[in-house]
Amino acid sequence: MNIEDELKEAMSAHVANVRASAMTGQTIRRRHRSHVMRFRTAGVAALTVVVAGAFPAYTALTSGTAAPGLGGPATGPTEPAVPPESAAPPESAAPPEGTAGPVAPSESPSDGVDVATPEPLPTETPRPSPSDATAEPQVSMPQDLGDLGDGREFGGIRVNYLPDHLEWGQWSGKNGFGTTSYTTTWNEPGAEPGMYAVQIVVFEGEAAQQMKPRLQSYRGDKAAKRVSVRGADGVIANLGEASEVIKTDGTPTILWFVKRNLAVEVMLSPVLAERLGTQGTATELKKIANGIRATG
Amino acid sequence: MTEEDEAAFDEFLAARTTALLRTAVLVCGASAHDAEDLVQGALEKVYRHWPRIRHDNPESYARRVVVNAAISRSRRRKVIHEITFARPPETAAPQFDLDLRDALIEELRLLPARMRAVVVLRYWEDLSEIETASLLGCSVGTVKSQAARGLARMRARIGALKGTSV
Repeated sequence: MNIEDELKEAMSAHVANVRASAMTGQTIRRRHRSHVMRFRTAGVAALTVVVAGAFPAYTALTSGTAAPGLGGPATGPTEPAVPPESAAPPESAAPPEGTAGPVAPSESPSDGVDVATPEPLPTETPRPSPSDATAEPQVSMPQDLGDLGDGREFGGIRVNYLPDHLEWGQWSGKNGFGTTSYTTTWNEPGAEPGMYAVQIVVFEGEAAQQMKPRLQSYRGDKAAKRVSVRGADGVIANLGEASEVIKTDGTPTILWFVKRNLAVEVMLSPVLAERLGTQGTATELKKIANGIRATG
Repeated sequence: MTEEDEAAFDEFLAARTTALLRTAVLVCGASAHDAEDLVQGALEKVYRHWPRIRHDNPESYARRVVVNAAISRSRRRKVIHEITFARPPETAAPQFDLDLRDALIEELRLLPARMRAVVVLRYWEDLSEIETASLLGCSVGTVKSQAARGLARMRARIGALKGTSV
């Protein structure tokens, strides 16, 4: 048996006992109704209430630290049932509109990046058609920092350089990387779903304190490259999924302190990095970093 | 949505939800419970657009949404170490080395999210390189290289386990 077959057997065995819940259809429809209700509630006044911090889902979710692990409290059953695959879920038992429980937590991953997001990032879905854009304007995008214009000024910094043709990702997150951290992305026009080109995270105050030992740790790693950003100690490294420095793959990242208590992390997507090559990636990261200024 | 649309969506769920859930478990390396939340969120998007997409390969659309959501979730670095990987099933598997299987799944979990997605789509879903590239929005060359690297790590792990090269 070759490695492909052994791997396939291993994967088959690993998920052999995984079955969809019989309540899936009901849960999906409940989530959908809640989405529609939230959309209607937010509606025209969405921007106002978000900026005012009066949108209950947003305030509730941004005010505290989410529990570890994936996903928030589920609206569906906590344990998947194991129905026959052919069994159609009983949809007639769907609750009437308005009885659905709180929805945003159930759709918000608990890592905090999207904690205030009523929905997963829009880049997770296939590109919507023009009719979709009309039907669902901006509601699926987290706007923790409000309308950022071109997106280049947020969290106490101004981004003066980005690779050509990039457009603001039209979203922003707060406190996803520690309390008083801010993030947003820039994409290439027409980027495939799930893609981003550049992501920047600003760490301020408490979040910045946590970055000090990390910066030192990265700078001491042989697989990382020490750099200077406008005279400040920085580092370029490929980071893995646990923020560890890895030699290959990973997310090319530059980290430094713009000023005391204000650290910035710039990440290039692995896809863009592959296109730029190792040297080109490092060059772009440094150019972006050198173009960032504190605004406060 | 018409009654016919609703009925067709139910049929789609009955036929495909378990497969999508299994794919999500493998791609995001999470437990079935966590993956279920992800799949429900993805299927809610499918439901939202169902009247438009039901006649245009909804399975492909749904798989794409699920896989991209799973990759995105895996990439959220702050939480990845919190993920509790589901234990393998306890059913007997007399013709397969359980230690080896565990090692392979563990190695799969350690792959970068996108590489793991390529491996799962190629060797679990049996998608072609072109289909995988299309679904992930990358080149065929990227699929080839990611699959080759992923398998190389698997071979190294098995080789270490067996004390021989595979």
